[in-house]
Amino acid sequence: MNYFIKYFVILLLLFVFGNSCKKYVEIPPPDDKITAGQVYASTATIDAAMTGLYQFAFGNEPSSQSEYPWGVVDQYIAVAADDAINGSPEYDEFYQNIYPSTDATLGKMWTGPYLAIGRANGFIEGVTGSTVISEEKKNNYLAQARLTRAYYYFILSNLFGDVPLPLGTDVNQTSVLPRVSRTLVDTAIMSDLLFARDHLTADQGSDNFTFNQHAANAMLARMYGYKKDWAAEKTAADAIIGSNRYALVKDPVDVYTTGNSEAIFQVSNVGTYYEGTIIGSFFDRGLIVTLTPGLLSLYGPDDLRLPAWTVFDGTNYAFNKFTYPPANPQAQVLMRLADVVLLRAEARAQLNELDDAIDDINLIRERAGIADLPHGLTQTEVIQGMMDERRKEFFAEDITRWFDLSRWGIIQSTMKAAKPTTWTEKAALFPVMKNELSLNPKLTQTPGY
Amino acid sequence: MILQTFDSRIETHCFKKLIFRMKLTVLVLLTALLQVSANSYSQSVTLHLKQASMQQVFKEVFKQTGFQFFYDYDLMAQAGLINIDVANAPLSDVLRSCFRDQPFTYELISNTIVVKSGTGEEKYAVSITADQNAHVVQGKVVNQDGQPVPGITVTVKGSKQVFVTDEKGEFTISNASENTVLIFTAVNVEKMETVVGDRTSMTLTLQIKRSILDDVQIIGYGSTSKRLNTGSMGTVTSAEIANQPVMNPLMAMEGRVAGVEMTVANGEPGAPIDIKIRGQNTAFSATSYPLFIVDGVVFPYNTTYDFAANNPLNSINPGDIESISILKDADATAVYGSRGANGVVLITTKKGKAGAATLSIDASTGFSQAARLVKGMLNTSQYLAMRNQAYENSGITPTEVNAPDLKLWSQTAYTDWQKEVIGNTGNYTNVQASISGGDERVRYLISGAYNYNKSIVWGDNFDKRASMHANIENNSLDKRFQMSTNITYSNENFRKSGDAFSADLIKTSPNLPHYDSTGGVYPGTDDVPVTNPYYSLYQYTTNNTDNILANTKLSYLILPNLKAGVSVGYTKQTQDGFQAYPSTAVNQIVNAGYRTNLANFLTNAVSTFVTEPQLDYNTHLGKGKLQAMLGGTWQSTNTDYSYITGYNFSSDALISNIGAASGTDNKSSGNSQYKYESVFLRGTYNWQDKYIVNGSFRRDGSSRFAEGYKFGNFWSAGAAWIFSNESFFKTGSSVLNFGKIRGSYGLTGNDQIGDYQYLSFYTPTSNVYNNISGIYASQINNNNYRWEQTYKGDIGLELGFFESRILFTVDYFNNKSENLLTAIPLPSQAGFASYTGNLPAIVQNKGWEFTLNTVNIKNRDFKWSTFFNLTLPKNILLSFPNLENSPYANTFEVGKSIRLVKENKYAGISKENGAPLFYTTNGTITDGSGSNAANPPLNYPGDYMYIGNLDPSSFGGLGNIFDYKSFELNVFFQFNYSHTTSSFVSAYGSPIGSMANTANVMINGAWTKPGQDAALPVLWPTRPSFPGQSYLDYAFSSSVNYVDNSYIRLKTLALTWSMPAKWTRSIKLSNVKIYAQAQNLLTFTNYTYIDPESTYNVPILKTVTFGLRANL
Repeated sequence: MNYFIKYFVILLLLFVFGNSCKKYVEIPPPDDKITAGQVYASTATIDAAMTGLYQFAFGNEPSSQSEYPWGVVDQYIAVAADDAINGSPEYDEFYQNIYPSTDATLGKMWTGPYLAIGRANGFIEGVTGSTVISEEKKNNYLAQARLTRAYYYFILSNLFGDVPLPLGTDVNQTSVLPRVSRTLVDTAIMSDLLFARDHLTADQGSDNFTFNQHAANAMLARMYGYKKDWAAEKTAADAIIGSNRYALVKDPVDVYTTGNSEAIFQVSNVGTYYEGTIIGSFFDRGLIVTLTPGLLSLYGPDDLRLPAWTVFDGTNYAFNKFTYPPANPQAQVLMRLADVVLLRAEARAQLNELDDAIDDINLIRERAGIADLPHGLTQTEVIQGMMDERRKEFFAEDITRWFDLSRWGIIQSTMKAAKPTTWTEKAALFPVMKNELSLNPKLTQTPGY
Repeated sequence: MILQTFDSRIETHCFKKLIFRMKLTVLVLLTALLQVSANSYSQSVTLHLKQASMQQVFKEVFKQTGFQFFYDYDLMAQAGLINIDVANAPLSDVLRSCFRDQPFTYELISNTIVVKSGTGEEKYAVSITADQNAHVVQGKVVNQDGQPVPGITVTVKGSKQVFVTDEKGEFTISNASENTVLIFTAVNVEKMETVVGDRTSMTLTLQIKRSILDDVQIIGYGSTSKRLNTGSMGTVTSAEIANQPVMNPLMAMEGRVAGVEMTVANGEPGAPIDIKIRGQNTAFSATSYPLFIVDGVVFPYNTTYDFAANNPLNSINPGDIESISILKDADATAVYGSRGANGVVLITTKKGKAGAATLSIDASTGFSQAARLVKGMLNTSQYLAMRNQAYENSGITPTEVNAPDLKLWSQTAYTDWQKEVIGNTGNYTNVQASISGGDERVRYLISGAYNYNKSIVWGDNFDKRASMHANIENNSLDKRFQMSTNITYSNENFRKSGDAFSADLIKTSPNLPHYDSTGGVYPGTDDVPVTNPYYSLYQYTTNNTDNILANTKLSYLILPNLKAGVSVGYTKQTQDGFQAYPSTAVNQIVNAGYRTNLANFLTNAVSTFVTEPQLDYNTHLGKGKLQAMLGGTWQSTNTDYSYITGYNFSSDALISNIGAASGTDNKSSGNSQYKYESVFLRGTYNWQDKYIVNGSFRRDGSSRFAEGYKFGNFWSAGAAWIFSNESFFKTGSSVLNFGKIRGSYGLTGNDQIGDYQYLSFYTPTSNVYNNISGIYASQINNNNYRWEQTYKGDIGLELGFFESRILFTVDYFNNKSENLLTAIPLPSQAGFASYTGNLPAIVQNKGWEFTLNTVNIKNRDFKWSTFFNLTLPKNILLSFPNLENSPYANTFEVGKSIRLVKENKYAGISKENGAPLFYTTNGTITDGSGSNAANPPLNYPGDYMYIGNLDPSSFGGLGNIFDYKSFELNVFFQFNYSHTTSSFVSAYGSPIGSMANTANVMINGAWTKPGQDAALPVLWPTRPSFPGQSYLDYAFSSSVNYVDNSYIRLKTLALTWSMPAKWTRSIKLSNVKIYAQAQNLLTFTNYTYIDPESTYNVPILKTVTFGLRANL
């Protein structure tokens, strides 16, 4: 018995102290996720991360989609501008250009782009450091990610003016960045776009769901237009139009059709993509957002776009650009040829190539079934014609009137005229959510708020 | 079976070794058991010893009889050697012969023979004298409840004869005469005398003294008594729990233990409970839960994948609980090392009691209602008057679009939505039965319970639980081997309406149509879809939880002073959650083109396996006793989950079949693992019950930390001085009979974060892009975080007066938490919502705790006792380097509580236009509109000011128990002095006067005309044009919203009547009790926005039940 007891005690002591299991608390990573290190160590997972970036930044991913709901934002901004009337009290504050800094939609206009930029930055760092893919493929992937980033900085700077410009992933740095001047943001955008143009091929894939060189040029054309570099705007637009890769759809109804010939970048969908998504519901609820008399008066009686893109209830024309349920499968369009054509028209008009500009405008007018603008108009008339055509063509689209008003420098005068009692000067830029200001003490509120 | 389950999870070689060792341990213990149980229990002894020491004798006697000897080593040195050769001799004779000629004598107390110095035949406690007239008396001693009481000393008055009752409470006196007087004594019983007379058998009922000081106090990995413990802790007993009709054991704790702040979130089934022990000392998140341990096994409190955020402890039947101990200071919690920072809640389930098999039943039923509702909600005509006034004030014309309630809907229809939605009567039914019995070797308890709780929220909402609990305890006759096994199984099933029930429903317009012409829920118009409460009626969540708790403790007394044991435990919680939004529950206007119906499916299983070996060693050291404990923990927790959303089901009837969904979303599944190990050591040295010191050390390793940060050391030191045991005291005061000063200091930790936070992850996308599935970064890592550390200091004074009829305890505690471990929030621009890390902040929680227990009146028929506790807490952010550049810059202030409120400061109502006014930092009063120089805009965060904090300034409870003959009345009040920012105002987000119902108190006194000094803002129909244009940004988050929610609540009122034994005997029942219980019956408060505890939520319940308890 004594022997036994001693053995027992020794055993227990050993159990407790004896070569204690240091490895016990070392556990393998979970099997439902991949560590960042693993992702950039194999080409298959890098491919998946590339797809994941598109899906996260643009697609219907539940963890991100609700953060930047295209249709919602587009309509809210249309209501904030002079294109639409709030049919429902929920749009009241945007209509009156009073934006509470606790408004959920407004919050998404800030957080959505930054979450996408954060993913793009992570992808850029991961791919840059990866040793398993070729230099060419690396640059191609970097180009797509940088175009994604540029796209969202473009949105952000147009909505909020000066914005923080994180280009890396170290949260200790990115989380305390202050706003930087819009010039600096534009420089970063240009740098990304030029890299993208130089490293993307013209034909990245046969579909419209992946960025290609044309997408980079489409964004470049916009940026040059915004910077009033007319020659460069024209060159970028020419590159796309000259490639003959894209053609305006015949019927305006089809501008949102999946895989249509006009779309330069479209968000991927499967069948009726928007079915069952929050975006779908907002496009449908768009029926309660109606066109302002100002916008309505621009359309002639024969303009095919009005019946194609609105629903007339006897009194009002309600937005119905993205129809539900759609006749053909539809998908959100973020860049399309019509925009490029009108950007080139703008460049040509500014460069005093007026008849060429009129020809471009007429491409759009012809598709809309309305009479051509005659050659021989004055520069001012051509520019006005281009502006009106843009407004009619892109209402409630991502390429919003709001952005155009802003870059043409006419937002104050136009909005003051449209909403004389409620418009205030500060309303041209949106306030940042209180929560964001709270989490980053270096972040300042938009001037005037 | 448990081992097999465990085996299947082994992944490392190391684990296999562990298992091997464990099996070996079990084998050794079993062998030991077989060996000792071969010896039979006996009061007679066989000894063949030559030149043996007294210690050898003691050892042999212990082996054969189970009687233990307590003695002083110094004393034994003086002992002579023994020669003895007896066979089957009575123990008393053997002892007598052994102690003859020794310089010490002995006394028999319970099963222990205490050896003390002194000489002389007269001190022998056991002697046998012959008496020719003697007769044999067989006696039995039982307690008030009829249970046998072992260990009672029975002394024959005037003689030296002493007997001790055995396990069955029995004793035999072979030589009693008619005049023999027996005296019954023991530490915890009232002394009693009886004359034998001519009786040959007798049963005596002794009153067990309820001196709180001698109550067993469960501590980490052991137990002590209140008298001797050095730490700060509180206990809730089964008796206190039994008086309360609650489904969750935690609810029974509310207000009963000083230092424990509890809030029940709402009155819905399975509602979450927030519990903070000595303040919020962990990081800035609200979830600073203590560590929950049920029968030695860690119980998962926080489940990530859960629809209802319901409280996991809901799966434990309160009726199965023997006691809940709350460990508070370092002395008590440091033995839990890295997990003790937030305090520890030890739940001990009921154990079998020796005796004839007893079937106990307890059944009760009753009803529940909202403890409070908002008074004076407007009826339709008042509401419409308010709305019309609002439109008149604004000059806006009401139309069908902006005011359907005025232009479209019936002007006479009236629904009291508050009454409709949360004003219903629920019911509460509880049925329990248990069988307990056994003998000195095996004791068992098997119980079953069914609990049904129907919600007060409309719809068929309930929470029901069926549970089973079994305990079996086994020991060898000499008590050297002991085994205790508990198995608890429960199934909880709840259903509730509304995904996240919104109290806003009570603000629905009273004239809102219920249904439209098609029979569907009225959705509003295309322009103005409405939130019809009926949607929430058709939406429902069900959750089915299976919970298994199993644990076994084995211990073996290797030497009289060395015990080895192992505890092996397993818990598994499996949840099946289902959330349905049938098309009838979906506003088809809002959701057109979205999802006509949808359902979420969730399964989740958390299992934990724990092995804890333990060595206990007791010895004499100098003039004191040393207790040492060495133990280890190996814990492994696995969580598995899967989640999916299906939408656009072909039919509502098929909504529970994911196969019928035309689309799916939010798909994810996976698992996570948590492993934890530690070694711990505790020593307690007790010098003659006067000076007690206690120290513990623990080294922990957790898989939740990155390489290099996995291990941490934790420790504590405690000391107590029982000055009432000093000789200078004993001779003196009879008023103060007990006095103790104790103090402790130590370091505990916290690892309450998610698993794998040190890894950076990519997660599969939920949907495909261009027909390809992708991955995206879902978590950023931080390799450098480590344990959160809390230094806990405590000093306490415990006093007992008038034979402990008054017991008073006061504690001052001072805890400092550093390296606060939390999910540090990030601004969106960083790309992620948060990452896990340590904050450099130091948070202090300090305060006073008072506890008072008194027996005010005590006589034969009437007893009145009172218990009271009060906590005065204070929370301070002591330091936060670089706070101004952190995400907390605008939320926290050094020197203030971490639950501070920083908002705009309300300055009343503008006389000019009825807009709410606020102070800017420089003292200007503005409506915030920025419309003119007199009304500058309010800046964020510049104009946010410190308003106050949400910490309670004090909380506690006051209970009284009145016993009169067979009646017992238990009255318990709970109180809490604090503030909240949850009120009607914050729930608005739009002005009073917009399309939402409100209460009288929110409109009486509203501004109506210029120059008026009003208390409330002008009624206004819509937000944007509101004067000052400030509603959402300012009024929404200002001090006007910071209100007092202090309350005093009659938490428990219980009346119990014990049926006289003579009545019940004839129906073969015993211990029959009939009772009426009420929970939360009355609430006294100035808070008007529903209930002060659950604030703006489904109010917590007041429940009244009637029931019966009986033993068969």
